[in-house]
Amino acid sequence: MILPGGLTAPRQAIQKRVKGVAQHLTESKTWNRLKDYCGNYLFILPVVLIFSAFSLYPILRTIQLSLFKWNGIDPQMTWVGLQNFYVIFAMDPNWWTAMWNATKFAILGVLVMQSLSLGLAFLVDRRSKQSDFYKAVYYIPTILSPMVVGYVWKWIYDPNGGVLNFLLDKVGLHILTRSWLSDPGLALFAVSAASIWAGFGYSFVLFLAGLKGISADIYEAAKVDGANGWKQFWYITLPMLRPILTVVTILTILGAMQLFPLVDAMTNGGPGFATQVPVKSIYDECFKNYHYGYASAYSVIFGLILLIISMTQMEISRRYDV
Amino acid sequence: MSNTTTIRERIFMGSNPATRGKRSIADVCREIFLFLIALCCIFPLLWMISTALKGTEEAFTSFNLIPKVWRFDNFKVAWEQANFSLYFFNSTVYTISVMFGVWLAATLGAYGFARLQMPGKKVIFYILIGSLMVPIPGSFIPLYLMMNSYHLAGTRLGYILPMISSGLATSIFILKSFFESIPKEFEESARLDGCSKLGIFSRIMIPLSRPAWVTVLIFTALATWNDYLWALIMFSKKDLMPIQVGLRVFQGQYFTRYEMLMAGTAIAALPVIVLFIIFQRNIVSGVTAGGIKG
Repeated sequence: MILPGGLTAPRQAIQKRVKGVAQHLTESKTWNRLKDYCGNYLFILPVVLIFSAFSLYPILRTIQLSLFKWNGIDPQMTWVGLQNFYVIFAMDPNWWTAMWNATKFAILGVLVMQSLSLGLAFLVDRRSKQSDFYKAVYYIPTILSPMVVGYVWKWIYDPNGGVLNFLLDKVGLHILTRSWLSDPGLALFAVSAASIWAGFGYSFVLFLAGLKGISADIYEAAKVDGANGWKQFWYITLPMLRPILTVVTILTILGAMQLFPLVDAMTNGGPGFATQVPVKSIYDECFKNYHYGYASAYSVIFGLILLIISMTQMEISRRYDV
Repeated sequence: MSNTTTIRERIFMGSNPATRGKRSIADVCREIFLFLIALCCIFPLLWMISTALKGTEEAFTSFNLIPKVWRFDNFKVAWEQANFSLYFFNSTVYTISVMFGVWLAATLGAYGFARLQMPGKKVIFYILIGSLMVPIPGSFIPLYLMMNSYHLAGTRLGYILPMISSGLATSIFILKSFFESIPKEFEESARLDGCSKLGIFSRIMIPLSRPAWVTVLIFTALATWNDYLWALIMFSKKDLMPIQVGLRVFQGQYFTRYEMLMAGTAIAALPVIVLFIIFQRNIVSGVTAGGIKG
């Protein structure tokens, strides 16, 4: 051991000092606290390990892979820099079709599903005595897997034996019967309807909880001031629901844009590219065409877009709150 | 209590007798409308079961909800000849394993994040929760590559571990806020009695937080049973496939025979429906707990 000044201290003195320090450490609060921390870290260790290996690492690795050209088999990956991104932006219309379809799903989800579930929540809240019954029944489709939903609705839409065409026929709307999932102009709307059926219960339950949180006194006061039902909804209900509205909107958009199993079950992306969605493009590009780097570049672009959407949404709601 | 009812009555039922009659017609219309929507939620499921009990010809020609001849052998064929018993078993194994893994890791972790002192805790927690806001939909690519290089691709373990990870963030979020709501006095008195941290955790916090982790377990079970994408990537051999991917294979074989497909679909949907019937309250209130705060 070298002491300051370059002098070598006598051995005994060093030993004594080391012992002293060790003793000081074991007795001191710092040492106890350190031991305490180590024990505490053990509690979160499993989470940290599992999460870093299977959730955090893949995110970083996706970004790395997107800069390479690789078929998944070669021992060597070829560095191509931003070329994958250039190709996607400059000459890959199919990807942008898929993105545009995802956007349509999101718009339909936000407009149709949210107004439906908000309207239903408004009708059920405080007015209906069976609110527990509706909560339970509306939530049932939500628990089903997208594969189950997809196949059940595919059967309902079936042009030969499907019950939808039959019902339309029965009520004299034979003119509307058609092959719902093979019509390029309709397929996306048909799939979106199934996804709204399977998802509105979730936002309904959230909206209902939000409405329950608005005290009756506020409505009472508004009523005294002469506000009618519509005005109450517009000036009290909507502003007070804004935090929940933000959360539900973000969840709806993220969910609708990442639709995959439902599309896989109902149309497999077709007819043509009419219901192609980004997650399916990523999957196909990776596991069917073996373009690992290119598929990762898709993921990065898609992930960034989703991130920007949820950030923007949160920022908008924050500004409104102030 | 009676005061609030009178306020509500005055607002929503109409305060003077003249408008009360008008209101009640609106009430009836509203109930009918709400009930119709409820019917729309249930009908596709009834139709699925109805078709599953019909013969091939009847499925395409008869639009009666009640089949003429009840053919339970569709289910038998799916279960015995089309591997559904196997898929069902696999899904059960995966669901129980993932539930156990999430339960163990999430309760320990959430307790750590909620109550124990350690430097860097907040940063780790925010990274964890941040991952909920940053979806990278394609992270299954590196995950698959990783499993491949450790020879775990196509194995049960390789499927289960990432499924545990995917459920962790939300579970910890729900559990952490529950642990924080438990008064600190319980722990302090146990500590004075000489109980260790692990003892406090297992003998006090786990029993007290039961409602929270039951909710977490139910949502984990639903998510695992219903998972499709990761299972599709992991398994190409039938003998390890869970039911959602098995259903896809089945659809490829019987794509023209909807009564068979509906029988398979009903088998895949049955466990979650039973789960929902039993734990309906936990599920609906769990959505609000996870959704509003998350």
